Amino acid sequence: MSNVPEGAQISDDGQWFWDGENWQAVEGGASSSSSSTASAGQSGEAAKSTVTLAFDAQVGEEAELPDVEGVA
Amino acid sequence: MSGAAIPAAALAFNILSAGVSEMKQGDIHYTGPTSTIGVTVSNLPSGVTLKTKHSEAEIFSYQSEALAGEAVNVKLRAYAAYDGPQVQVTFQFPSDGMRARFDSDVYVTVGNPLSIDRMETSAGWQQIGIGQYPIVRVPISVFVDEPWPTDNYKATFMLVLSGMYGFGAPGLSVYEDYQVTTD
Repeated sequence: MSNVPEGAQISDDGQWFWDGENWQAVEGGASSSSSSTASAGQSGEAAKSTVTLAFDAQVGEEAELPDVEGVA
Repeated sequence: MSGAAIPAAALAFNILSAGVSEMKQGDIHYTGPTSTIGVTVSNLPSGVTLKTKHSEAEIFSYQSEALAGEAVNVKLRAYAAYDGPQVQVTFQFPSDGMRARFDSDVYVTVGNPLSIDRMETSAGWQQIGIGQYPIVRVPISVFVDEPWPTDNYKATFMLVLSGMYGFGAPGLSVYEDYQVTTD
C-alpha cells in the first residue's frame, strides 16, 4: 500500500486508488486475483478507461429546386 | 428557371410525429419513434413537383474500452429525406454500433419533433412561390451506465432538421443545447 497517497479514494476491492486524474493500481494489492477484470494492458498500470465520443453530422446539401409545370 | 414569379403560397407546415415505444436494439435500450418523423407541408403552389433528396449522417458514436476490452460501442445513424418544405427522418443503430457489454447499460431516447420554426428560402425558391422552409428540433438523450471505475456518461442535445438541408441549416448547428455529464 506504499504508493497510495494519504487520503486518496480507494476502490471497493482495494486494488485501485484515484490520483486526481486516473485510477492507479495499488502496489502490493490483491490485483493478481482479479487481473482478468482490470485489463490495464500492462501489469502495474492503471485500468484503462478510454471513452471516445463523436458528433459528426454536418449541415446537408440544399434541396433541389422543384419542377414547375409550364416553366422551362 | 425563367418567367414571372409565382406568388408566395401560405404554406402550412405540420409536424410529423410517431408513436414512441421502448425496444431493445442489440444490447441497447432504445426509446423512440416507431416510424419516420419530421415535417410535412400542405398548400403548395399548383404545378410544383418537389424533388426528394436523401442524406444520412452518424448522429453520434460512443466507444469505451474500460475493462477486459471494448465494453460499449454505440452509434446512432439517421436517414433523412427532404425536398425543401418537408423533411422526414428515421433512426437506426448500425450493426457495428449496438454493443454494450460487461454490465454496461446503454439507454438512447429520441423524442418527437418540437415546434416548427420557419426560415426564408433563397431567391430561386421564392420565385416559385415557396418562401419559407421549416426547422424542427428533435430531443435526443444518451445514457451509458458503465461499470466501475469508468464514469457514467450522459448527453442530451437537440438534433436540428430542416426541410431545405435535411440536417441543420446555414447559421444553425446540427446540434443544439448540447450538454454532457460524466460522473
